Amino acid sequence: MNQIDPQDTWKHICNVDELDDVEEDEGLQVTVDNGAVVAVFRVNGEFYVIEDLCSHGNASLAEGFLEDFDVECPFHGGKFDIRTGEATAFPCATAIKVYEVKVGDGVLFAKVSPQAPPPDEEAKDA
Amino acid sequence: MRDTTTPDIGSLIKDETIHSSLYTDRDIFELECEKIFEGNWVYVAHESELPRNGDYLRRTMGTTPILVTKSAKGIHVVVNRCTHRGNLLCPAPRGRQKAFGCKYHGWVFGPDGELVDIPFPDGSENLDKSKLGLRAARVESYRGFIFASLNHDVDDLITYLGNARQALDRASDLSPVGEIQLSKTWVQHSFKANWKMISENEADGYHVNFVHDSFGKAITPEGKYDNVLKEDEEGIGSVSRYLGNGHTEIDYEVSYGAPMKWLGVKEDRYPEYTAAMKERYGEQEANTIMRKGPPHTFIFPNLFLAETCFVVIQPISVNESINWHTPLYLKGVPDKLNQRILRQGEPAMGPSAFLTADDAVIAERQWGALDGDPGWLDLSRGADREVQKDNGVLQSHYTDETSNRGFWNHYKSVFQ
Repeated sequence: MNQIDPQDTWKHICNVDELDDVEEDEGLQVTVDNGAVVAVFRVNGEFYVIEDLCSHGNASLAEGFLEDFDVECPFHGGKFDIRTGEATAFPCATAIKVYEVKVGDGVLFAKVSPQAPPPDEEAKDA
Repeated sequence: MRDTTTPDIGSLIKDETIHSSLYTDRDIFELECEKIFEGNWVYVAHESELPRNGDYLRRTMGTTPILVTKSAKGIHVVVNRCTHRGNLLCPAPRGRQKAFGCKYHGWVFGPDGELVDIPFPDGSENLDKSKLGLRAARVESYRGFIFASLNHDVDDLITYLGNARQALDRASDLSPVGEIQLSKTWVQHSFKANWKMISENEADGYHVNFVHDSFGKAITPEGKYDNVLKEDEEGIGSVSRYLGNGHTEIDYEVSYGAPMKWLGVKEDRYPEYTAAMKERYGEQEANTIMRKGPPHTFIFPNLFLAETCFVVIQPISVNESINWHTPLYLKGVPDKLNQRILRQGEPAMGPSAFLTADDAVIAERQWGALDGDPGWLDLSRGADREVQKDNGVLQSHYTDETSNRGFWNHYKSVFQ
């Protein structure tokens, strides 16, 4: 198994000031250079980066509106806690990914893994 | 389905008389929905009601339910009915969301009507989603007033507004930032009468001294309407106008002898407002705007700029209509000025006020008296003394039926 330097997994997400044009209860959709699509939120000055695709319908969670720390899916009204990824309202039941973040020199980074490969390939790798 | 023969509307409208079945015939109402409310421009919303992306309003165009939405791409007007099983897609009157999920089977539409998701997609694999979007209207706006047409093949909005465009300017220019501002609250007054009895009445100066005589008795004699609440015909200087394309107007400009009289106050009541107006328009132009006051203009078929009130007419059936009204607030003015606009609207159009309630009673009596006993109605008043002004505008005495005749001439042309 290859050893991966954890620093290598920090991905450039966006400049912090790009969030200035986004309202507090809205998200920003970003496609990371490894193909992963994430939604970025800012609450009380803290950044949260989550998997953008809802685990239920084919919706972008960056299009949803935040209520405290719950983002409501724009399609069917399910919700996820942007701190933990936990599904908090029906019809969503499966958690989404949340990513560790850091800010340096006005840039937001997150430890974003590539999009999950299909389950059978995952099994092969293991 | 009823056995219907298309009514010959042209035969029911003559130069100075109309037939009462135009108000009571169910088949004519259905034709109106098709030709007027789905066939040409209809007022749907004001941009001040949709300040942020994701904002939406549930409205109607005739009897068709619609959503007015705002996305990063602009304003959209789409039919508010799921293309799957016809469920009312969004039941809330207003709100903010970037997609609309049907509560019946979960189909999801974007703000522009695109069908973006079908739940449990395997069973719907062969559906062509691109053909199942919500029906979208053509949308144009002027000074923030949003109009939509379900018939895309119509003249542009500016052409349609024609001479009535100046009324939208006149209302907007009363703001030192050039914009009106609508609130989130509306009074909905039900009329058990035909929608045209409201529409036509908006620029009918003849009824004012009779239907609204209690108003005349209650307000101060030196008020802003002293020019028209009179017993002598010659003393009335305000005029009625037919503007073309069904748009009609009463102009109270001559009644407003001094700046701010339209608001019932002295010129120096809101110095901050006056200063802001002069800053924007220059002294002379600002004084002209503040003296002329707001328009009293009906824009065919459903918008009425009622001076400091804002009215939208919704047809429900041949004998039911809803008169929606809200204060016509101005952007960028002191709160106290807008509060006065609200206070002025309450005795004029509020549920226990003088004007709308009076008009509703008359319209309901009129409808009831006409239904089942049709006949010809006279609209000849002033035909021999109206004059043609610039751009084909017809103008006559405040109490003349110039506006009504224009309304019906245009109405007739819609069906030809």
